[in-house]
This record gives sequence, C-alpha cells and structure tokens, in this order.
Amino acid sequence: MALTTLSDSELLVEFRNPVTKERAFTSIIKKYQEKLYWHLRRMVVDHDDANDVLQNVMIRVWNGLENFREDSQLYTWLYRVATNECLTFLEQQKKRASVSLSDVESGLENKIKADRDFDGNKLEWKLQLGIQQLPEKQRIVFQLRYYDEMPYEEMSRVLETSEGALKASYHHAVKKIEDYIKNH
Amino acid sequence: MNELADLGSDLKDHNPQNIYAVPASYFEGLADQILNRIKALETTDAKEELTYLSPLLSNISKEMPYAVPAGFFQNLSDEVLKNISGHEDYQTSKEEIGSLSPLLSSLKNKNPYSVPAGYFEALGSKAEKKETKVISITRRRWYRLAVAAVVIGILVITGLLFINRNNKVTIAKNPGKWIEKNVVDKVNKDKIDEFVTLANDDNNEKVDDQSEAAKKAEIKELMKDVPEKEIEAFLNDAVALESNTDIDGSMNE
Repeated sequence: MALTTLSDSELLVEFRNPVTKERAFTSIIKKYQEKLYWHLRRMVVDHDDANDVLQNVMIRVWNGLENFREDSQLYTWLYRVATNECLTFLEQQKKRASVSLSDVESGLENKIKADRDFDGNKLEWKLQLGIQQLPEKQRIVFQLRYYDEMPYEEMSRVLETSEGALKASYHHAVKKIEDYIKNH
Repeated sequence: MNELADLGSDLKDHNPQNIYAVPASYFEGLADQILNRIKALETTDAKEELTYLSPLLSNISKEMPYAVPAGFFQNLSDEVLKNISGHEDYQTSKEEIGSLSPLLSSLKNKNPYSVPAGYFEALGSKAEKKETKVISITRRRWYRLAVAAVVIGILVITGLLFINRNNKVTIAKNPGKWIEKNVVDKVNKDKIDEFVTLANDDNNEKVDDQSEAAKKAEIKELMKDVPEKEIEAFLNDAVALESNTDIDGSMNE
C-alpha cells in the first residue's frame, strides 16, 4: 500500500517501524511540505531562508516524531515545530542585524521590495508589506488564520495562547493591514 | 459655570473646547463596524469572518506573489533525508555499536545461556495449574487491633517527647531554675545552712582582720609626730595605774 494514502496515525505507526521509517518520513514530508514551506516563507520572505528553516524543521521532526504523544493532530504539532523554528531563526537574524548596522538588506520589508517580481502597485504585494508591519506573533496569527484558515482551537495549541487572545489579535491585525493598504 | 463661579475658579472664563481630533466619518461607520466585529466573533468560518472584518482583504487574491525554484517540492524529501543521513551524528544502533566496538558488535547475537527444552511451553501451563492459597490479612481481627495499638503508641510517645522538649529547662534558657533543679534540690538543706553559716563567719573574720589592720594604720598615722620617749612614759604610767586598780579591786572583794 502506498504510504501517501495513509492517515496520520497510520503514518506514525509506519514511522515507528525501523523497516518503514524512512518511507513513512518521506510520505509525511510530501504531505505537508507546501503548507509548512509557505507558512515559513511568509514569515522569512526569502526562499533560501525558508528552505534553511524548513530543513531544520524536518530534522527536528525526524528526531522528535518517535516521542510524539498524539494528544494533538500531527499537522498541529508540525506547525508548532515550524513556528518555533521560525521564531528562533528571526531572533538570530535580529541579533546579527544589531551587530552589523549597515546591513539594511536584513529588513524583511526590504527583502519583499527586492523580490524580482515585486510590484508596489499590486494589492497582493501591498498586502505582504502590510503583513510585515505586524509584530512577529501577530503576523503568525494573521497568516495561520488568513491563509491556512486554521481554527482558533487548533491555533491555540500551535501557539499555546488562549482562543480569545488569538481572536483579538487577528481582528486587530486585519484592521492594521487594511489601514496600511488604504494609506499606501 | 455658576458652580465654577461659586467656587471662585478661573476656569469659569474658559470656553469648553475639544482639542482632540476624530477621523473623518468615524461616527457614521462606528455602529456597522461594531456589529460586523460581533458577527466576526460569533462565526467559526474563516472566510465569513474575514468578510465581516474586512471586505477589502477578503477580495484580495490569496495566491502568494513569491516565486519558488522549479522542482523544489519534488526534490525536497530526498534533500532532507540526505541531510539527516549525512549528518555526522546520524547512525543506526547497529552502526553505532560497530563504530564503538567491532568486538562487541560481533558478539551481539551470540547468547551463551541455554534454556531447558520445553521450558517456556511448560511455564504457561504451570502457572494455570498452581493454586495459591489466599490468606486475607485484613480479616484477622487481632492483626488490625495490633496495628491500631502500635499507631496509637507511636502517637502518644511522640506527643510526650514533644511536650518534654518544650518544658525542658536548660541553663541557657533559665539558669536560676536550672540551678534550683540540678543543684539545690539535690543537696541537703542542713548542709546548705551550714555552708551559709561558715561563709558568714569567714566573712566576719575577714572583716575583723580588715578593721584591725585599718585601726593600726590609723594609730600609726596619728602617732607619727609623737616622740618615742613620751610614748614609753605613757605606757609606764598606764601599767602603774593598772596594778593599782588590781590591788583596789582585790581589796574590795
């Protein structure tokens, strides 16, 4: 049976079997790679950075999946690993930026503008710039809800924050981005 | 204003003015905005929520404007596995023991212990046949009473020790009482009286000696200017007077 057709629980069973571990892992990557990639890419903007973070995420998954308790959905756990890895990466970027003050390219807004396809008149690019105005955690909340349409209940497990706080954060984020787009 | 005048405040001369600016048409849209916010909070559907919060955002395409290198997703899983297996720390348990000790690795599957033939098959059936006598210890009355007695005894002893510890008189806490308890109570009262009397006598003697010495010193001081011949003459007169008194005394008897 092709592993790509298996459910998350079945994939976990296959992963815990040393004989099928690698095949199961490959199937998990193929199943979630795009979702995780775009989740990271929206945060870090640059493809190479997103690829680096994604590789780190997958290594963590390989090492940690054996002990995954299945008290949440697999994709919830994957998102949590990816989010934490992303925040760590951004923190490291900030530290590097503070050391090298002349490096203006480290700004995510500049990275967006530096994209070869960037067009400041198009709404989708303005949206990306507007998203970058948000603080990191609020940015994550907005993207999980806006792009991935993740239920608040799942999001609260990913971000370990109450549903009420997430709703408030998302609503504020929408207002801020809308104002940004209208004013630019 | 009348109130301000009554208070004698200078504010009565100021015209109340609002210095803060409000965005244009803020109040016209406020009721709808709040109502939409409430609807957004009540719905669970993300798309519906966004239409209430921001019709503008809900109409923007969600397609990402970023480009992705060709074939990136097709090759990703192979890349990841290559990175994991190529990592210097990556090893299966077999490879690990092989790298640490080839000798131990070669001995891994060689079990030196032997097991009697049919042992495991017989083990299951023995366990089924054997009837174990179950003795309920909780039903024995004497056992329960003994346990209760031991527990009560421990509690009583602990309580007594605790009380005694609090009442214990130590020399540091209460020296007077300690001496009374450990010294005075153990000694005979008569002996104490005797000691006290002796002590007083000793003190009196010491006092007499001391006063005698003081007197001698005083006399010496007084007599230091009196010539010796006069003192001898006085003493001779005194002796003569004494002897005369003795004769008179004896004659009167």
